[in-house]
Amino acid sequence: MRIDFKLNNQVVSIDVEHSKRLLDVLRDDLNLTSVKEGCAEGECGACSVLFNGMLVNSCLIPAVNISGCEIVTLEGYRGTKRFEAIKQGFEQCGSVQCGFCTPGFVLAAEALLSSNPNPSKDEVIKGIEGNLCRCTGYQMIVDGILAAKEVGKGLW
Amino acid sequence: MKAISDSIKRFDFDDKIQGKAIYTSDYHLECMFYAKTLRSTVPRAKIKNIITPEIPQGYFIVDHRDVPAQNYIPVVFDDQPIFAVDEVNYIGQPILLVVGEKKEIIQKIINSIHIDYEIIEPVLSIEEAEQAKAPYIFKNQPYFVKYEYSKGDLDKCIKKAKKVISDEFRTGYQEQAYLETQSMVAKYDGHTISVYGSMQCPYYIVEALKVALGWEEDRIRVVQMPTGGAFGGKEDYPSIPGVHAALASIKSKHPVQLVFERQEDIQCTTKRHPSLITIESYLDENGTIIARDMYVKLDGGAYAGLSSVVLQRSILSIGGVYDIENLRVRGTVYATNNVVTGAFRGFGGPQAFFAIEMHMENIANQLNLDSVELKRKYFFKQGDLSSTSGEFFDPIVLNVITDKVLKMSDYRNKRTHNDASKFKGVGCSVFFHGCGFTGAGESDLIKPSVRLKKVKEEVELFISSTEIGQGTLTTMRKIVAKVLDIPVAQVAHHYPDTLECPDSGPTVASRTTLIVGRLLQDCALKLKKRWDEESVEIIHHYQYPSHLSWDSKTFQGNAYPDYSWGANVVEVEVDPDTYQVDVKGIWAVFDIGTPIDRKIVQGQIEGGIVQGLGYSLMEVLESRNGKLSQDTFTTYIIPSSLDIPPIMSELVENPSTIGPFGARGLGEMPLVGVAPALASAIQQAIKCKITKIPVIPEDILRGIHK
Amino acid sequence: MVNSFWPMTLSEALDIRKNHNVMIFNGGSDLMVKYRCWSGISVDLPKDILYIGHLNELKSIDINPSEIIIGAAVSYAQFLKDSRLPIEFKHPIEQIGSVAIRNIGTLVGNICNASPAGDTLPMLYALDAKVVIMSTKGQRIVEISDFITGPGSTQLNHDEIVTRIIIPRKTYDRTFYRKVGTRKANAISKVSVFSVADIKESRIDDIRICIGSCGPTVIRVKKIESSIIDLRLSELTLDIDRFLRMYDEKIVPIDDVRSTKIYRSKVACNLIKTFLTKEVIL
Repeated sequence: MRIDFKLNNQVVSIDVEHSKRLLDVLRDDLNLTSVKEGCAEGECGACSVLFNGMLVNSCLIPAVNISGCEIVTLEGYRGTKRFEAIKQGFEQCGSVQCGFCTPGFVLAAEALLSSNPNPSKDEVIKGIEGNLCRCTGYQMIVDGILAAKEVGKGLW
Repeated sequence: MKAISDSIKRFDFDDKIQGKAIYTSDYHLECMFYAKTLRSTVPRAKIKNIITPEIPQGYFIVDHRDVPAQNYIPVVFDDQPIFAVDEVNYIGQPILLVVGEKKEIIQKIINSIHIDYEIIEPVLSIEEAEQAKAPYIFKNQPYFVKYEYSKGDLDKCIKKAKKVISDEFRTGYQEQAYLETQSMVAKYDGHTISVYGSMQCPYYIVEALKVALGWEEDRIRVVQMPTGGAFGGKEDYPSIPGVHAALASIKSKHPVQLVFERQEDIQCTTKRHPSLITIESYLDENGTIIARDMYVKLDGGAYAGLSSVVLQRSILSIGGVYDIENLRVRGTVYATNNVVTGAFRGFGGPQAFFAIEMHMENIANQLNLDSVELKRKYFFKQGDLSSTSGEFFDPIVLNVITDKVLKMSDYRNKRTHNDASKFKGVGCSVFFHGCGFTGAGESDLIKPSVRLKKVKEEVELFISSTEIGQGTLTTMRKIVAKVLDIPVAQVAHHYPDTLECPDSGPTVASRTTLIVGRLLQDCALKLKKRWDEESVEIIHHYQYPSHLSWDSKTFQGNAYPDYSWGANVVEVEVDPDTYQVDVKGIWAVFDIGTPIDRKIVQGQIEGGIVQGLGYSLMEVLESRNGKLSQDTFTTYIIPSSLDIPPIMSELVENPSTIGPFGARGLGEMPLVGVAPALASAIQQAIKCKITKIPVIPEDILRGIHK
Repeated sequence: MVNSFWPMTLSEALDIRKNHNVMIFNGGSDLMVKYRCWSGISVDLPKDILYIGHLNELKSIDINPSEIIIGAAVSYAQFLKDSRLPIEFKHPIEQIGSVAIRNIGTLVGNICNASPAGDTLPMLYALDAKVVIMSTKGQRIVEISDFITGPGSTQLNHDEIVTRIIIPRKTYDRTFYRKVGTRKANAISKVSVFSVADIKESRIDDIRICIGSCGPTVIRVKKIESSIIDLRLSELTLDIDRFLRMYDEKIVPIDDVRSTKIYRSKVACNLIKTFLTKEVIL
């Protein structure tokens, strides 16, 4: 079926099966490989994208559900000032190791900060509860988001 | 960069934060085919017949008949076939691949292949293996290897002893749970086979391809792609999908991508060895420990893999940080029809340190002594002989480490003023990690080399050591830049490609900084002397330090080129309604010599501790009839952000005489000591003995109401 | 490949439901996992699909003096964000899945899955929630405890759609919720207890205790509740052990990949005891 939606600020029209996972649409049809498959069942958050501004696992979204909606992946987000703040925070705090979970964490941070520009440490921890990281032990990612919030004050 | 320890921006940071790093599953070559593996669904059987449907044009089945040379994966023993021939020995063992353009059609073909099995009674546990009779899984014996070594005179002490304290401990499987599953892309151009993938050890795959194909090395190229976590799980295992993808590409004449699904990855790749460990301590009339008898039994699964080496590390660690004069140490790794176990951060160490530290705890309890003070009495110090009678040449600062961790955590106060009605507890562990390959393995087996190339002012370093998140692409540059006294940005370093990089050894055993870093340091010193030359290329080889020695038959001598040391304190509160453990804090102090980059070091420490926390507290993984019951991320539970306590870590600076700028190995050690500190804390909280990890609420309930 | 229906209105959806043998797809957080395939291949849904998660008619939370009415397409996140809803009702919801799961998962989806571990169910049972079921013939309203007939089974007919949940609007003096999962986020519950109580002049005016993950469906024993109701707090104190024994008899969990029978019943009883002694009696 034909599906029209807005992707990273551009109108896109694709022809796909209705139950194709958004994850596969993005990776296979649109070559947006920042979106990773980690578990295929909504447990790890590596495939996180923003769906009308909300954080979702793209492995759980059928293509039909994005019709008329707005999807943002890291490819679209990385041109923003907010991204620069998160980047700086993550750099300062050593939030990146193997990097496979990183795109998901960046978008989880954006989703959190856009709904709560001044989160406490506990709120940051809760905000990334659905993103698994096996390298860092989370503390340095939490610190990275808290640093980003300071760097990007006023952006959210 | 002022000092070597000062943190700099990681060189892989920009690509990763922007999502631009191309991992193997992101790598699309023109006309690329896909491959999927058909695996055994039974733990042990003869394959009577394989019934395949008609295969459409452009699709291929790849099996053992497509292996041109030898059908085995070279590890330590050559027992594991690339593809099963007429028998299978574990659930998940690869039998064949289906290869082609469209995934839907591949899946359909896979679904319609029928395999006729003649079931053989499987061996499913250490206990069953001990009783097993022919036909054996491995050669004509129920185990892969058996080792024994000793120090002093155990028998004499047994006669002399006034008290014996014995314990038995069990540890479970652990899954590496790297976020990126096993992934390979292979491309055959009619002459050379190139394998791109997620891996720790490019040259292991080169070796495996040489065996399988019978080709010279100049027709084989292995390239590491950015790798989404490894933790040992991508040490030996990637040789299997690496060779598979290569064979598929050679047969189909197309590039082939082979990416595991999560469930497939958990079900069939290597795990941490489950263990059964017994320790007996013999005490004299003064309560002094005069001798110990220790036995480590591991479940190696269906093929030998790295099990013999894991067992070595386990029996070389089981003595702990204690100088006991009389020892007997035995170990057996059994063959079973469970999933193959292999490398996992710590590599036999976590099981051993859980057992010895809990045993020390229990001795202290029986003698009514403070366990830390008891441990302190036996701490190794410089000049002592290790359990294998190798001299410790460098200063050992266990007292400094321990004092520091006790102070940071307010351990004494928490340990003694504990309100028992509140189910609170605190525990302390002290441990080491032997860095680098066992014994003289670095010179006898690995023979690592590094290469530096200078053209004008630009330097490039070439090693096969991989970046798996731990910072190799940054730390190695720092070492070279520091020696040459040039800006670090002037040193280039890329993901390894075996066409260009000499074999600096596998990225394992906490050896990259210690061994490869030192080789680069020495190589850079040579380069520095020739800095005036316009273009220079230097290859530098490893030499075993002359003051060390090792006998691999008797297990006598210096078991490792160097050691790192550490202590952990864990504080817990157990919920009286749900028996869940709330970890209040983890404190850690390590001697890793000079840190090469403090931020990278902190990342290794915190990540390792959390992986150790998962191992001790929640990562239940059980084999039922040879099948792992927890094979998805919904059922195999790794810690989430909400499960993490505050982690406070510090270093003591005690430079190594072997490593670059005084650095020692780090990668594995932070995982090693968590389990015993946590289990001791729970033991104090609930007043009953913990003998098994992970310690789950169901066990705590059973303990409390025993 | 299965067909899909993407109706523009609820009445169109009801027509499709009547005329076709379709599976209802709401938020999708369970179906997308249950029928997933090899990455790159579309989810292998077993029959034709009726998508309803986008229908605006099902997306509202309406509150009148006596009821809270939650549309079938209301996500957990929408429920949590609604400042008109009592905070006590949000506790079970904020512990479901993760941020991303709560953005797509729905309360009605959780009911229709009828999993013994469904995280909304103990609360909805305790609050006497009702399920509104529609078909082209009209609508019927059933108690949630009647709607769910067993693990994974409900009394929804082939031509029907659950369109709303109705929660009677009432405040409670005491509410209690504990979920015991395998970890703190994104976990499936091993045991959960949701309870409410009303106390008037040191007497128990109302009490409801619901236990999840400990049987084929949520356990709520009205017989025990009615024997507690009207007791003085001092009488309850004396009789607590007897009531706990009564609960213990009714709680018959199973061993599975997540936990054991013994653990589940012991923890459920502990939590009930904590509710009674620390929340009700104080």
